[in-house]
Amino acid sequence: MFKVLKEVFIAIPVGLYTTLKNFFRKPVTIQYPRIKTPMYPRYRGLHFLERYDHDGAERCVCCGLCAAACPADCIYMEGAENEKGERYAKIYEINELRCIFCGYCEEACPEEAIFLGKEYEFSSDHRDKFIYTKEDLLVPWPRKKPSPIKFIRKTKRPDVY
Amino acid sequence: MEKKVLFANIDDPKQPEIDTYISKGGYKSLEKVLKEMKPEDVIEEVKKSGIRGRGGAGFPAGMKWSFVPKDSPKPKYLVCNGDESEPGTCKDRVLMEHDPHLVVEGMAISAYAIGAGHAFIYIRGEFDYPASQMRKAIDQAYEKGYLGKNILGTGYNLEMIVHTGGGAYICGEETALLNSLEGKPGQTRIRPPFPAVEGLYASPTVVNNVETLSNVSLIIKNGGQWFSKIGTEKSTGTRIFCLSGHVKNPGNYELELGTPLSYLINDLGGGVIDGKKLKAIIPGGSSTPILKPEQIDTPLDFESVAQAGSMLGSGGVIVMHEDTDMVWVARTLAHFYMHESCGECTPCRQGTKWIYDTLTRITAGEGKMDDIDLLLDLCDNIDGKTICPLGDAAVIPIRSTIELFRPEYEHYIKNGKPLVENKFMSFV
Amino acid sequence: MDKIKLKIDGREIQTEKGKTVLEAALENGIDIPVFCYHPCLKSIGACRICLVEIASPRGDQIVPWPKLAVSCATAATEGMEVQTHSEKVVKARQGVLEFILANHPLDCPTCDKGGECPLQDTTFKYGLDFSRFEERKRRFITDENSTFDDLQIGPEVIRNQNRCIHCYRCTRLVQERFFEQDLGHYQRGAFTEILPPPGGEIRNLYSGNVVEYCPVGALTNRDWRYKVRVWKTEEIPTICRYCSDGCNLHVSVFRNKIYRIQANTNWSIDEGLPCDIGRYGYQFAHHDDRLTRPMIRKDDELVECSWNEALTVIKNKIDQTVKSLGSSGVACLVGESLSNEDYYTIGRFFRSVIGTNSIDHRIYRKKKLSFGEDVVKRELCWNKLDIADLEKADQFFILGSDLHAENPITALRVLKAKRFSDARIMLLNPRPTHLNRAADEEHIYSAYSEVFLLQGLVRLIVEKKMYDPDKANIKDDEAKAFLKETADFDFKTVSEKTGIAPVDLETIARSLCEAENTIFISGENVRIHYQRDPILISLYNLAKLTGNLNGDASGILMLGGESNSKGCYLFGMRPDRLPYDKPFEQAEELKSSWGEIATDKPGYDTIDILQKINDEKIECGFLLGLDAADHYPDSEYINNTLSKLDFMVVADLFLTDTARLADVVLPISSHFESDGTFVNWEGVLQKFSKSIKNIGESMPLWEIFSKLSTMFDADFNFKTADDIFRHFAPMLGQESVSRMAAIPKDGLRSEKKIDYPDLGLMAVKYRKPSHEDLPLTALSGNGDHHFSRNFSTRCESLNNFLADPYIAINDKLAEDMTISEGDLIKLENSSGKIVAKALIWQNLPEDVVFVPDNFIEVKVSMIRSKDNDIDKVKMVKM
Repeated sequence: MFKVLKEVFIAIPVGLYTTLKNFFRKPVTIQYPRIKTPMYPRYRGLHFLERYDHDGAERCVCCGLCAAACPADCIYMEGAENEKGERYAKIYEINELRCIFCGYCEEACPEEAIFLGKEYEFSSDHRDKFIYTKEDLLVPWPRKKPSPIKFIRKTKRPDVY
Repeated sequence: MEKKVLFANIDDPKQPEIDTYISKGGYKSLEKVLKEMKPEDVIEEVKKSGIRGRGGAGFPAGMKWSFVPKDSPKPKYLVCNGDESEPGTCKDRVLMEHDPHLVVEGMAISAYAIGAGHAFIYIRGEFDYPASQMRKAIDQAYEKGYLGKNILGTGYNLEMIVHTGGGAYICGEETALLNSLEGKPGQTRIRPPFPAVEGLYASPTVVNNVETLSNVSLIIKNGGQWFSKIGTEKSTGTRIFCLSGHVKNPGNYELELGTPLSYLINDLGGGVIDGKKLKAIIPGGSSTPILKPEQIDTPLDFESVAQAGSMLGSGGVIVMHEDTDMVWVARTLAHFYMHESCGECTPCRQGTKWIYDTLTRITAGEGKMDDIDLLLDLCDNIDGKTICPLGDAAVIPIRSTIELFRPEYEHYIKNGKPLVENKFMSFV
Repeated sequence: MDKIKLKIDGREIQTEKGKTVLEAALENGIDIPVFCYHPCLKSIGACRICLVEIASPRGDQIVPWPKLAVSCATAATEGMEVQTHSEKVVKARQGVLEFILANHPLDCPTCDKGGECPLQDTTFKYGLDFSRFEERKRRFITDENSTFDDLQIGPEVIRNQNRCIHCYRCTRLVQERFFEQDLGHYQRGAFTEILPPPGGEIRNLYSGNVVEYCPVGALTNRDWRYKVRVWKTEEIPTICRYCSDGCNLHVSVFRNKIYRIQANTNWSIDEGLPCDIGRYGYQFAHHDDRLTRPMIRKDDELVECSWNEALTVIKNKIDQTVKSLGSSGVACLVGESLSNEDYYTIGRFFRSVIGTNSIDHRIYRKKKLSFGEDVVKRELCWNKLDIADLEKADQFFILGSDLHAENPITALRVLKAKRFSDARIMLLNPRPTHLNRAADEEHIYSAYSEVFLLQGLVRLIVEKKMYDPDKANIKDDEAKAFLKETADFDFKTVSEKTGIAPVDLETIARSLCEAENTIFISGENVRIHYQRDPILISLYNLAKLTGNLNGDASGILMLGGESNSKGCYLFGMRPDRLPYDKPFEQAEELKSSWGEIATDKPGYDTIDILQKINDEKIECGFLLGLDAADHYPDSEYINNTLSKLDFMVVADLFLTDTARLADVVLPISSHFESDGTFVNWEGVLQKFSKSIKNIGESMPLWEIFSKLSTMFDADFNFKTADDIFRHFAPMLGQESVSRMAAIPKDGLRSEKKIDYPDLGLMAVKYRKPSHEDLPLTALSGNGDHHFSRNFSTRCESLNNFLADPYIAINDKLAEDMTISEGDLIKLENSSGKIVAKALIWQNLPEDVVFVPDNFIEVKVSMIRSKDNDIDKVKMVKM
């Protein structure tokens, strides 16, 4: 009898206390997609191709090092010569389904052209849509917001290099 | 002491005329050689005189001639090197301008000695007047029958051709000179084969300096014995020194070898201008290490100068007084060598430009302390690793200014301005 | 060769005397980095990267040299001790590399050389990983607006002077080996620039090689520019499909597309220096004109169909023809650049399945095709020398050959002999050729006077007794008889007829007699000459008389033809020959594997086939890899004849003029799309490999005929080219080679080298040619950077050198007719007319016009007629 009473009058308040304690805590979950968690600085999401700040020219020269470094072999490119006689990527495609987001392409890039951004919401309803072309990857110009990257090279060909 | 042998008749304005030259006993040695001597005897006589090349390296001339293969089926050539472009040197020019027949006669004798049928004189592109004097002299010699077919009835044929260069220092180097003479770009050839075996048009060729060849006619005239008595034991004969820089009386002086440097600078040159103190002496053209004022008593002969740590080179003595900025001197000379590097081999082509760029940075006040070591290391990387001696020559002034005047460099780097304000040789 | 011993890095090494230290090291696997050194060029010791420390014995001691020495120019001597990795050497090497890199831009990401760059590799291996160079890098700005300092210096060569390390390989190559003057260096020191002469561009026939020789990316290719990175591509060996030299090449393939061709050095043939035609001549493979599906004529129009349909139609038609006319109602003409596997299968199909022997490849001549009896007796149908033998000769007598355009690689060997052993080159041609840049003598004789020229020379030598009787092996009475027989070829007449001055004739004769080893080379002009046999016999006479008939470096060469002309001959593409050059009498061996073949009588050759078509004795014709309508030297005749054919099958890569007339057109694959073998003019059998997949539904000919034969229930069905090779391998006579994979890298060289028989002098007769009475003689040949038809003109890069057809005329003629360069002119005669732009050649004879016959727009065959020996034309300004 006493045992039962003990359970009712002690155990229940103790359990309710735990509930009550957490009731006023800040919730761990967030209201995604209305609210999004900030990403860690080194998070590797969807790729983007950078431009030069002064004239908006593409940084990528189609050297092929990202493709060479890529362990998943998900980058394809074809180079060509533009009207100024410079090398650029005529075709630049990343198959994001194959990509393992290791960031080696970013490491390999000698021109500071490709980076892995914070974007992670790129699900789609068709496999073909995961092949990102150069147009998809290039940052918009003029820029909507300043680039998150601190570039070492500011112009295409400085005199000292 | 001053001894006028080559310059004996230099002041006579009529000397370039062949009649004057003949009346003073000219072309007698050629006649004697052609009529009385065999080629081997001529070489023997020249060997006996002990004359060493006046172009810079000081190689015994008689020895050079004897390297020419006797049994080669190819024609042989004599080339007289009149491409005198060393900064501070201007002796050959005087000889060619004022006593061209002496050169022509010397060349003719030497050509006979090595059995050449053609003799070329390669004159520096900028030497317009000397070239015209030489051409005139050669024309006159042809007229009088001292050149051409069947000279003096002895059956010996010699054609002499004047060739002017395009204005490149490197063409003073014998193989580059030969390339230029063939109509190719003035770039050096790799040795061996040496020109004495495979030179002009892949035939045996002897290349000698104007002053050396001029001496030959005098050696034949007076005998090798006479010549060997002038000067010191190992450095025989006289030598023309071209005194320039901060002295009262710059000019060409012919001195017996072994005469002290102080005699040239103080007695003949009248000492340093404006009563300033002597700071540095370049004893043999810009490609030779600098001597300090303490070494002013060095006798001017091949061995003694070498002992003092420098070279007799081509005889261009440049005197600098206390107000000279030695870093600027180095930069000026570096510019010269950069500009004159032919571009064939890497260390010289890139090294000279790098040195010049670094020195320019230092003189612009942007130098770093490491630059001095960098310069020395660059000198190491150039020295002895090039095809021709231009690379070696280019590092000499840099090295010796750093060795002797390091505080000046340090001052420049620390303060961004020179220790002494006066910029000597500031034509760049 | 004397052997010497030396020590490199403490290793005892044996080498031949005369080799350099570098060569000794490299051949023993000791690595010394190089930039300016190349085995094909004289060493100049410019880059200084190959510095080594040397000590050599003097007396009993081994004395170290005072300075480091360049190993590329230091001869190895007995007892030498070389250090290639001592501290001093490493320091010097790093110093030199630092100097090279000081002004070398680090633009590897944009440089086409990146990935195959010797400078990258050497830096990686020997260089420092930091730079002390802080100054501004030297820049050669060509365009203020561009950030790239590229300058196009030739149709296919782009220069970036910033990257140049001044090794002078390119200029040395052009000047030393090619004898060209279109690349040199200007300025000096660090500012030395590599440039073509002012106002000019680098456009010699070998210009692509400078790109390959450049150890950095200073010279790059316009064609390959920026398209693909080198490490992405696969290199597949192949053989050039153009001339009969048979250069070995490498195809760079990426994702089933050919991006470029590079040399694949074969020291016995090309020495790694292919010409531009081979280098850029791959582009036809991906050309839009390529046929991708079979086509059948339906309602007078060609429509695409399936392979099955096409082959069924062919089978039915063959059956029908055989039923009505017998097997001789079927005939086949083949092109000269198909593979041996194709020829074998074609031969087997026609001979054993259908039973006809009417197969021929010789479309280029107007008159009877076979070598005459006298020529065969003298064995003049074989080339008995190798390309490498040319180096040993000390004189070349080049007759009627634009060697530079017909056999560019043979021409390079001739030039090599000139450069390294000072050989004399005598050119005798009816028109000036580009080899005259290096010729000691060039004589332009009046067109079609070869017989006079040669017989005249022979007579002159005999008459003046210039020859050495022992060497020539000629008795006095023989000589006398010869003189008597050739009385009309006296000195004066010959000089008059040939237009060569008597003095020159005598000089030629004298130098022929004086030289130790002379090689006589005849070319395309002789091959299609109406009096080819007399010319060959006269050449034989000349060679015999001057003692050059048989020797290691003397003899007679008949060049010209296409990549596998020799293969046609060897693999039975003749009415009277079975594969591997077997006459009908030796058919037993073949019968055992082929089954029954008709060997009772030979088939028809080209001339007869065309005749029989006109007589309606042949109804079914196959034209395989051959544009007969364009090739045959009488346009009207061949068009009429071919349209008379009841059924015509054409197999080709493109819809050619012949294909337009066909009833069935079969798309065939190029040699890039199949394995196979070619035989070059030396008789060397070389293999090429499949590098890309078949374009469209095209198939190689061997596959088509294998398929076709299964429809005839024949017992051969080859699945791969190797299957075929295994079938004919026993006939090659080399036991070790039974599979294609066993063909050695340098090719399969037949061992036999039989001497020409000594049959004495034979006087030949001059036959007056038949021709129209018009003022100008039309000659044709290859235009600059083009070869043969249909292929080279479909290569964009080659069209950059020469895109438009032209008619070359003499300057005086131009002046008389007030024609200036670029004006349209018309050549016409009773056969037809052609129109093209005029080009003025100064030393072309006044009565000769030259038309390149590579262009589809201008058909030289239009002004030719099979009834005339010489094609005369008149010229009209448009």
